[in-house]
Amino acid sequence: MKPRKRKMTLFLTILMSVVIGLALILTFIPMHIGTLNYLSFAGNLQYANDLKGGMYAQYQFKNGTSAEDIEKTVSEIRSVLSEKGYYSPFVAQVGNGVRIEIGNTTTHDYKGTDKLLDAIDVGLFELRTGTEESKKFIDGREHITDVKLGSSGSQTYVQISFNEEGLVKYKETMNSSVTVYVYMGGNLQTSFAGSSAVYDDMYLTFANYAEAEDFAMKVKLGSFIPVDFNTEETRINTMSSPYSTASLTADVNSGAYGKSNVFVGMTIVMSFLVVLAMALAIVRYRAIGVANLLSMALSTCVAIFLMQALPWIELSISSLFVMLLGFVIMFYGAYAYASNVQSEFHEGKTLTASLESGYKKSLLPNTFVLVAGLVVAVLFAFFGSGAIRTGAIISLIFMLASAFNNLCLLPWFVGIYYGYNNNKPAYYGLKGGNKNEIQ
Amino acid sequence: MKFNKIFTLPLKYLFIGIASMLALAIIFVCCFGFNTSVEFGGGSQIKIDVTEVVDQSATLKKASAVLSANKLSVENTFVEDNGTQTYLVFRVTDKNIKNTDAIKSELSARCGVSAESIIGFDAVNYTTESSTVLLFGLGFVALIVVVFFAGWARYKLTGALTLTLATFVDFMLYLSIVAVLRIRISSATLISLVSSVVLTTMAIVAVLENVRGSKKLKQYENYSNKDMVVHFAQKEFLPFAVICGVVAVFGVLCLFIPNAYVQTFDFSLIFSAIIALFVSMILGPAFYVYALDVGDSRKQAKLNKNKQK
Repeated sequence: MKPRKRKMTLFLTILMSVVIGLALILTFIPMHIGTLNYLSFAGNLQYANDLKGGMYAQYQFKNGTSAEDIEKTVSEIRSVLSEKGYYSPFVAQVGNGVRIEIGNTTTHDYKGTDKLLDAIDVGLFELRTGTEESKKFIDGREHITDVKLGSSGSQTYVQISFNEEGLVKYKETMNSSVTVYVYMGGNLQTSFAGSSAVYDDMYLTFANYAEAEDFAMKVKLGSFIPVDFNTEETRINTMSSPYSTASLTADVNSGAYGKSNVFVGMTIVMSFLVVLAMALAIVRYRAIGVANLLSMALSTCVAIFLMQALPWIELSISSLFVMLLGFVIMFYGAYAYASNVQSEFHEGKTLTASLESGYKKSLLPNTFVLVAGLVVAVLFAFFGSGAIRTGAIISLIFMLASAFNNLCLLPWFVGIYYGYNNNKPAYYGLKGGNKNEIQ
Repeated sequence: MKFNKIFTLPLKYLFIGIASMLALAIIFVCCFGFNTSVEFGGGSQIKIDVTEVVDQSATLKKASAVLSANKLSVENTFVEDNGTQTYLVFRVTDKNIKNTDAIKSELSARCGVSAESIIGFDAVNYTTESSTVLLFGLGFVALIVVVFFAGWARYKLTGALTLTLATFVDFMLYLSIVAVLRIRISSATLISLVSSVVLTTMAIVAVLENVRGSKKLKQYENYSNKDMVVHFAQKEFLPFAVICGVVAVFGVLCLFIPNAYVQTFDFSLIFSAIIALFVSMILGPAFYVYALDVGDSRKQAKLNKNKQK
């Protein structure tokens, strides 16, 4: 470890100060710049309904619904919600119906959430050649296998695929003299002039992407949900966070809506402990402790940036617990580095040699945990769903942040300080050992 | 020196203790099953119409007291709107509740609402998909395999066996404590389990790495396996104990947060820290010393055999 030239050390100090300052501002401070409303990375995080409240929907089954169909319905609803960006919804059979609870988006798009929940009990998708039920030639639940969105040039289309039976009926029925009526839940949605079925799949074009997306979602729901709901008993409205004993309101216009004292309490305790651990580290290891503070600040900013940038993350109460685990791993790796440096120094090595060999000794525990953790987290992220997948991705992010912190940033910041002081071990919290620093 | 003995307690007694714990857990699970959250085992939902109620917080407290008195375990509560009405919703972990009429009457009397305002006891199905439990098991098996082979590559068979045993015992001991103490199984408890296993692995790798790196150093040439392991376990003890302590303090502080789900996590976190400390600093070093001694004696036996030949 060769000491850097003073000028370079000064340059790096200024550079890292600017980088850390910018990172903290961008991560935690929302800004209004002209018409631009910048939320900050932390402000842009998406929350599940358990932390910030959201909306619920309760649908009642019509009589005679089998347990198998109910399970398939719950699974299908989860899949649709996941496609729409709700990764940790509450979806379960409650009484004789299904209940869904989802968080609102960061822009409080209640109308969008409401529209989505409203579409779930759209009912059976049918294609008919007349308005009577006997004129039905395509039954979504019996004949449709897939629904996709696509675009060709400036047009957006919905592609509907059929099974064998459906394909036969589709090809037999479709010709230019037929008017096709689209029904959902027994209600006429639209009609259009038919044409001969040139392709095996049906293509319906739309004026814009939003309309096509909405139609595709309804066809999916009307084809893959195997049960009929009693639409008169459907309830869709707002709810408060289940983890709040103070803000008992579901009124979205209330200032208390979406606030969770449990979330606030946990964040305060977590922050207090992080600060306490940092303070202990600074008191004990001095310069290494300060370097740890700076490196963890930067690593945390990187982790929060990734959490808000990746589409699969919706923070729930269990995500907070995963974040705590991430911080614990980060701290332990940093402590391992500092205590290895200390023990090398105690064994008689110089400051320089202690810093180098202490870093090398802490490489393996950090790398080992990173590799083992990555394997398991990737497994869960690929094959899990909902809160499990979100937790796995968050743990992946924090493990990478921990490795970045303990293997790169922390030694880097210690190295910068080494440029200022390479012969006073006491400033690194190192006592005893070899006080004669040979360069 | 007495303190050093903590790191090399007789393995026989440690395994007897662990086996007893596991046996007790099996008995508890056979008799009572696991205690599960709504997420894993389902529960029931009770709604109270609070449209006309002025102080909803007071109603929440009274209703919670009634449910607790009837031995119903409230996991979370929230408010929902329904057009012109507002409901206070309680979700409990209990299923097939028997005295529902009596509970409704008591709720009505205590909360000052009419009996028609209590809409109760809808069964709530669990929300965790069945593949999740399977996935969790597979994840743990994958971790054991990775830990074993990575440990073997770096620390030979003795190190690999120590790491694998520690990871496995940590996992089983945690589940045993969850079973015996009836801690509710939820995603939060599983996260505590993962924390415990990860911390244990990190601590043991640190000890193994130190032992491996120091074996050829002159200053340790007269150290026996036991002395070496104890020396480095002692060295790793303090930073690890600080981390476990911080985790446990977090758990204790959050016990004051008035939510059953969070409190469950807190209990499980405290135990995960204790188990991690026990397995990595007491069981791990003791087993590693034993494994090293066995390895050395086998090597010696082989050498003697070759000499005789």
